[in-house]
This record gives sequence, C-alpha cells and structure tokens, in this order.
Amino acid sequence: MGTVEVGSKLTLSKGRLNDFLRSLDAPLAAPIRLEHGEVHFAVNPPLEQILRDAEYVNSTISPVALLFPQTEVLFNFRLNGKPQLEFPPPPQPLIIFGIRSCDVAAMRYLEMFFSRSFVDTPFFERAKVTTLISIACQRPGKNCFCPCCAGGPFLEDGYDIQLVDFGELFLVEVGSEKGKQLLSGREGFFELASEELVERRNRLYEETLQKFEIASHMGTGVRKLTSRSVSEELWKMMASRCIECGGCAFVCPLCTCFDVVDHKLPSENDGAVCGWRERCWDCCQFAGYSMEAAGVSPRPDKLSRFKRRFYHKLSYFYMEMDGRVGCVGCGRCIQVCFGVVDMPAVVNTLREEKVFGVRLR
Amino acid sequence: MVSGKTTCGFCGCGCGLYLLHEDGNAIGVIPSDKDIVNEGRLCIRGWHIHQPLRNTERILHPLVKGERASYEDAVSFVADVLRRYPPERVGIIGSASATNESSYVVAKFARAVIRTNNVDFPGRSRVTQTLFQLLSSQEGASVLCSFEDLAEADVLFCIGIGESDRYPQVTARIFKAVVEDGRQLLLIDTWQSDFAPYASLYLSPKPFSDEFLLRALSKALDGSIPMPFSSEQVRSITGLSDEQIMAAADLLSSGRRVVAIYDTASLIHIRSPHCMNELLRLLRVLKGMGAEWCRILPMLERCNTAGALRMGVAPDLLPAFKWVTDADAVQKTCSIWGVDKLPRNKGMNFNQMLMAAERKEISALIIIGDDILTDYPDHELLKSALSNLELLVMITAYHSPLTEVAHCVFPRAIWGEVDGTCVNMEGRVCRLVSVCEPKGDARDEWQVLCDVATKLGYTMRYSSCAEIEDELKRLVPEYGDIRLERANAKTCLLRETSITIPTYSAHGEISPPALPSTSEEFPFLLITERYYLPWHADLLALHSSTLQREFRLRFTPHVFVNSAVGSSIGLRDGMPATITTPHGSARVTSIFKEAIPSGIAILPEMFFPQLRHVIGREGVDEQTGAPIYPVVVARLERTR
Repeated sequence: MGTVEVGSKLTLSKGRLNDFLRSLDAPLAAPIRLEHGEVHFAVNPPLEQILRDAEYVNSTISPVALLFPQTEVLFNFRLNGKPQLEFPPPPQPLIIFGIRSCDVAAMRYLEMFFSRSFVDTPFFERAKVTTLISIACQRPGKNCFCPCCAGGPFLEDGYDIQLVDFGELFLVEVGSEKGKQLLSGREGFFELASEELVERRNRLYEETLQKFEIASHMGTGVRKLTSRSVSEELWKMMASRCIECGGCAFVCPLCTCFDVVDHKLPSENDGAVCGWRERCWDCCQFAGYSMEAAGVSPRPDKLSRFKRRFYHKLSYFYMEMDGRVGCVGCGRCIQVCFGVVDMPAVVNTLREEKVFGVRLR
Repeated sequence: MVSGKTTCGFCGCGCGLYLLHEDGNAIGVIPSDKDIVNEGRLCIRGWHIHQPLRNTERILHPLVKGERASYEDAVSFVADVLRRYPPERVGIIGSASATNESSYVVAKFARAVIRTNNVDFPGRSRVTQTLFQLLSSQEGASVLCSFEDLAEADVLFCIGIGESDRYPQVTARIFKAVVEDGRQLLLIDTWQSDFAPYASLYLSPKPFSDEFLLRALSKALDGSIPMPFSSEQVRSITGLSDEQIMAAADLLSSGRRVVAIYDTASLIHIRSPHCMNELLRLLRVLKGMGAEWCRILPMLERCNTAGALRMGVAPDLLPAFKWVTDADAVQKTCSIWGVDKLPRNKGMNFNQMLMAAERKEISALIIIGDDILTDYPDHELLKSALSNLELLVMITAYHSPLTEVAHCVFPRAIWGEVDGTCVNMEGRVCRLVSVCEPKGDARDEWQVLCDVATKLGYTMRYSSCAEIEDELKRLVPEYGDIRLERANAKTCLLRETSITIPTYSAHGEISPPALPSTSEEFPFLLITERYYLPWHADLLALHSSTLQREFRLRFTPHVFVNSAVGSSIGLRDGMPATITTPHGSARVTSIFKEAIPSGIAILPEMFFPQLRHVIGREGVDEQTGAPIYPVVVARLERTR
C-alpha cells in the first residue's frame, strides 16, 4: 500500500474497525447512548457501545466541549504570603471518533479564535494533541442545515481523517498532518481506495444534499444584518421570545464566552487561604456577561443583547475577521430554544420580514 | 463521567438532565432530548444546577448554640429539649424542594413522633386554595393537563401567568403553539409580559376582578348562567368593555381543545377558590358547547410542591390527600407507622406558626431547607419572631439570618447529593439521583429526623431511600403504580380520583373586591404580586456563581406603571422614583408598560425585603390560614 500521505484515499473494512480503534494508544472519545437514548461523546466507552454511523445524527452537547468543557479548573492556589499556584497536568492526547463535519468545521474555527490575539492555553494544549476521525453524514437530522453554512455534510478540507460509511467498509480520507501521523505505522489496516469508490463518494454527497429538510438562507441574513436593514419592530418581536436561558450559546460549537470564578476553601490552621480558579461557560445573552466595572453595561437590555448575538454570527464584518459565518448548521440551537428564535428561525424571519406566517426552517 | 438521569431541583417543570462529573466533582449538565418535559431544553437555572455542588460556602458541621458540635451531640441536644414540650407547642416546617421520601418522613415525624399536626411548608396554602378546589370538583384530576396535552391544544387560555421566564417549559409550548402552529393565545394578565405581543387577544383587567371576568365570560357564552351584577358593575370592576369580554368569549368558544393555564402563586388572594370555581364553570360551558376537551394546568413553583402536599406536609392532611379526621385513613396510617392514634385536630399552618412564634405561643420549630426565606422576605420580622422560640432547629446547607438565631443547625445535603423522587406541575413523578458525596457532615434531612426520632424513643431507621419508597407506597397507592423506568410515559403521571374537601370550599356568590380608595394624595392602587421568580432570593440559586450574578442584575426593585400615566406625572422609564404609601416610602426604578390599567402600580414587593415596610404586614385568613396580601394606596414621584 505504501505510505499514508495527506490527500490519501484509503479503505478500512468494518470488520477491522475495532482492532484499529484498539490499536490507538490514546484515550478515545466516541458517541454512545445514555440511559434514555440521548447521544453523548463519552471518553473510553466500551467499544460495543460506540454507535454506528446509521445509528445517530449527533450529540446534544458538541464534542468540542471535550476541549472547552462547561467547567474547567485553571489552577489551584494557596495564599500565605507568596501565592503558590498548581496547574493541572498537561492534557492527554485525545482521539475523537465519530465526530460530524459540522463539529469539525467548528473545531477549526475555535482553533483560530483561541489563538488569534493570544493563545488560550487550556484550549490549545488540548487541541494540539487531539485528532479528529470524523464520519461524514449521509442521513441528516431534522434540524440539520450544514450545507447552508459550509459545515458539511462532507468536508473537502479542514478535517484530519474523514470517513464515509459504505456499509461493508469506510472510505478513509486523510486531510491533515495529524491525520497522516495517526495512520502512519497502522497502514496494515488499510487498502488504497479505487477511483470508482471516490466517484461513488462524490455522488453520495450530492444525494445527501437532497435530504435536508431545512433551508436557512444565511447569505440573506448576512446581507440584511450587515446593511442594517432590519426593522426595530422585527428585532423587538423576536427578542421578546428569548428567555435568556443561555442554551444557544452552550450548545453552539462556535460559541466561546466564558466567565472566570475563584472559589475559596475554608481557611487552614496556618491561616493559608486555599482554593481554585475555574472558568465556566457564559453567554452574551446574560445581563452580567457584558457588565463592566462601575456597573455600566453596553448591552443593558435584552433587545440589545439579542441583536448582538446575531450581529456576531452573521455580520460580514465578523465573516471577514473569522473567515466564515458564525454558524455550522448543526441545528442544536433549534433543539434548545424556548422561543423559536434559533438561527434558521431568525434568518428566515429577517429574510421574509414578518413575524407570523414565516417559514421558520 | 455521566450520572444517571436526574431531574432539575428548581421549579415545578421538572426538566430531565444528566450531571457531568469528574473525580466526585460536578462539572456540567447535559439536557435530555428524550425527556417529555423539556425535550432537550434547559433554562438558565437548569444549565447551572451543577454549580452549587462546586460552591464551598456550605455549613459543614452541626452547630449547637453557635458552636461546632458532633452530630451525635446535636441529635441528643435536640431530643432532650424537644421532650419538654407538649405537642401543640412544637411545629415542623418542611420544604417544597425536598424529595417525596424526605417529605414523607417529615410528615411522619410530626405526627408519629411529636404527635402534632403543626406541619406545613412555605407556599402551601397558596397552592391548596385553587388546587383542592379543582381536585374536589366533579371533574377532579381528569381535568389536569400534561405537556403532551398542551401541545395539542388549539386555544391556550393563560390567566395571570406573569413573565415568560417563570415556567420555561410552559413558555416553550406557548411560543411554539403560536409561532409555529398558528394556535390561539388568550392572555389575561394585569402584568404586560413578553407573551402579550403574541396573544390573539390580550386583556389587562383591573386586579382582583378574575372571578367577575370568568363569570362574565360564562354568561356571554351561556345566557342561562346567573349574573347577580349589572354590566355596568362588571365593566367598572373589571375595567373591560362588553366588546372585549365578548371577543374573549368568542375566542374561547372557537377552540376544540382548550387549556387554561394559571400560576398557583399569582392567584394568591382570599378569593382564589372562587376564581377556580368560576374557571371550572367556564370550562363546563365550553365543553357543553362542543369542545373536545378542556383542561387546566396549574403551574407549581418548586420541584416538589405537588409531592410535599401529597406526602402530608400540611396541617390537615395525611399522606395521599387524606384528611386527618378520615377514620379509615387514620387507622391504616397508624398500623403502618406503629402508633395507636394520631393527632386529630387540624394543626397550625406556616403563617400561623410564625405568628405563634411571635406571640410565644409555640416553643419549638424545626425548619427544613431555606424556602422560608424566599417565601417570607421580611427577614428581620422572621428573625425576630423566631428568636422568641425556646428551640429553633434548622436543617439547612447555608448560613442565613435564621441560622444566626437557631439553637441547633444540621448541615443539609443539597440537590445532586440526594436520592429520591419529586412530582412536577403535571403530576409527573421524576427521579433525582445522588451524584456527589454530601459535603462535610451534611446528610439528608430524613436521616436527621430519623436519628432524632430514635433518640426520642420512636425507632425510625431506613437504610436507603428505596426503603422509604417501599413504605410510602403502602400509604400512597397511586405512587406505587408508577414505573419510573418508563419515565416518559403517561404511566408516570399521578392521577387519582377526586378528593373531598371539608374546609376549602368556595362558599357564596362572586363578590367585588374590597379595595382601599385612592385619593389625591395617594392616587395609585399598589398591588403586590409574584410576577417575578423568587429565585434571586433562593439560597440554592445564590450559591451558583452564574445565577447569583445574573439574578442580582435581573431583579432589582421596580415599580411598574402605565406609560401614559407615568409620563404625565413626571416619571421617566427606567429612572429612579420614590414610592410613598401611608406606611412609608422607598426608592425604586419606575418601568413603563403600555397596557397596565391606569391608576394601578405593580410592585413585586414579595422579593425585596427593603420594600416590605412600604406595604405593611400581611394578614392571615382565619378560616383557611391562607395569607392575605395587603393592597395599599400610593403615590409615585420622580426622585431627583
């Protein structure tokens, strides 16, 4: 077979999948079902619990949360005169298997965001040692709209290893140095893919595009927002349905807001104060998120915060800066929203410029 | 690692979620997208329910007279002192956030150990006013609505439901129904909420006129319904025109499946049972006109308000909604509890116990949890009343003004550290799982009560929650039929047949509210209602770093007033104002709302201790023991 290169197209027979996964000498995160059937990316699950491509669409919480968790201890401290800090141990390598294209695209965005002005060490130390083995989607879920957002269903670039499930075997596409490194030394599991298989893959991609139930005209959203041609009345009506739960930010794989909190433990006998500093997910819809010193907030009311979220996700100013629209079309915000003001609902409302009778998805 | 499926411990929605944890520490939550209640959604409270488990400001060890004591010494101390008092001088105050199992032990401790019926939980009388009226009607529990039913309703009749973030899972159904499915919303609320722009018809009647409006609606649909007041009087009391009432009646009668949604906390006045009667009458009329079904969803504030009630944490109830005078129920309960008799006379309710403490007519109180602080925001009054007690025992996780005056404090295990079940507003039994070890010496309140009971000579021991469940199923048979493995099925809904009510009946005709008269000096009628979540004063929420920050910002003293009227007297929207009543003045922020009736100002005083002195003391209804919230006159001026 020869050596694996970036750009290689290989095949892996299903029968060898578990052996291949066992051969990976790093913790493995993969999708499983929880007690009542919810999909969740667990670390080192028993191999027989790992879901097959046809058995799931995606998880409730994005696997990017493995690198940017809801709560993360930054360091422990001991203050008795000179402060002593104890940092967590360096993160272990991680392989995320079964991650979807939307979350892969999101991961690339996060790597860009968390290193742009300064490097967010906790995220980056994890990202450096994480490899993604994604499975391209052939059965989009009812909330999916990744084709509208350059988020899938198949990626042409930006992935480490992309698998396409062909029943008896996977097509294995190597997209990055990381992907190549992972497969080097494990060539024995793979064969070279035929040109015919690669053509089938391209046809399958086209067929999959037809299966999406939602069309979210992101381009129109971008244009209307950027040109500030959305009426105040429309914004007010949408914002009034938001209950500031934070759900959209917490499930969105591109959202990055966090708060930093210190916790103190009861004092020790020698008077030393011990505790830890942690960071936790936050949300720009929360009143306190934007609060500045002296109690001033640039976004004191729900309406201004609501607008702000969509400006950040859709305005061209941000697109230029971030290299993409702030959405990968994973559809999670639709699941968690109380007020029908998820991304497609808002974009389509902006497009149709009415509140009632709009085609929400 | 992911915990077993558990249920949020905040409000009465009962959302399903999993706790994410590492090395015994909670680090996050995962909403369940398979749960029939929340379908993957969580509100800001649910998303942060793991945070109190990370908070270090907990009471870790028992305190006796302010000094750290061993658990055994604290138990002995409490038993020794309790022994001295006759049953009528001892009371137990439970919690609507405590599990069913814990509440069952609270009620059992009160009746079998102390031999008193002085047992209640804060907020109960508000709920029972309307809920029992409903349950004792001819329809009984069959009229209750589940979230599945709500999704099928074509007319949503929302009465006094307040703001959209109070009961988020109800909000989600309302918005989806209106925005996605084109269903109709009839919103009747003096408060102008975020639902108002989405209502097919929004009416803002004068306060305390609900029973009139509901009767007028019935009359408009069925001319044979008696109406002892003239249209002129109805217009004057409700502030609504005949056209508005007719429009509402038409909207209701256009529905095939009608759900009436109300907030048990908002209909808190003395006429609540009458309002419920009128609502039931209206739904019967609609049914008679051909509606397929008409249901009611009573929104309950806390995660186990329904359960605490059903377990008997009430001065006149045994478990399973049986009356303390029900001979058969008494006999059965006695045999299971191993006692020869139970106290016969109705006990003191929560408000009565507080007043008794003030007047030194009660010697000892055992208070579980911290709900009392959100339900009774005058903490100074609370503290001074409870300071009169010879014995105040608190089983709580957090320091508060009350632990300062308590003679004994036991550290309590919090949500995420306890096993058990709770019952949500639909009557659905939901499971809670313990994930983290209780901090320090903290334990379940039922453990503490069992140990005190045993010390007092009544051996009460359960090795686990499951053992309590086995016992309580014998007294609450409908609970025994629940199969929690099928947690999303209708089999988890508690639906017993109707109950009889000796004391809550709404007697007599509808009657106009007795309101104070306004004058030039005090031109506004100031009403205080629970339009806000009490969560910003809830100690569990305050020990979540995010919720504490958010709620401090979201909830600051405001007075809500009609925009036009506010402008005309020199107020400005969002700017400081001074409110003055015959009792005193306070500084608030004035907020304009277009649809609040003129002459009315709304003060969510319930949650701001600093505004209490402006309102005056609430009374207690002699017959039901329910609190009577004061209505006062006021003037508003711009503060310069």
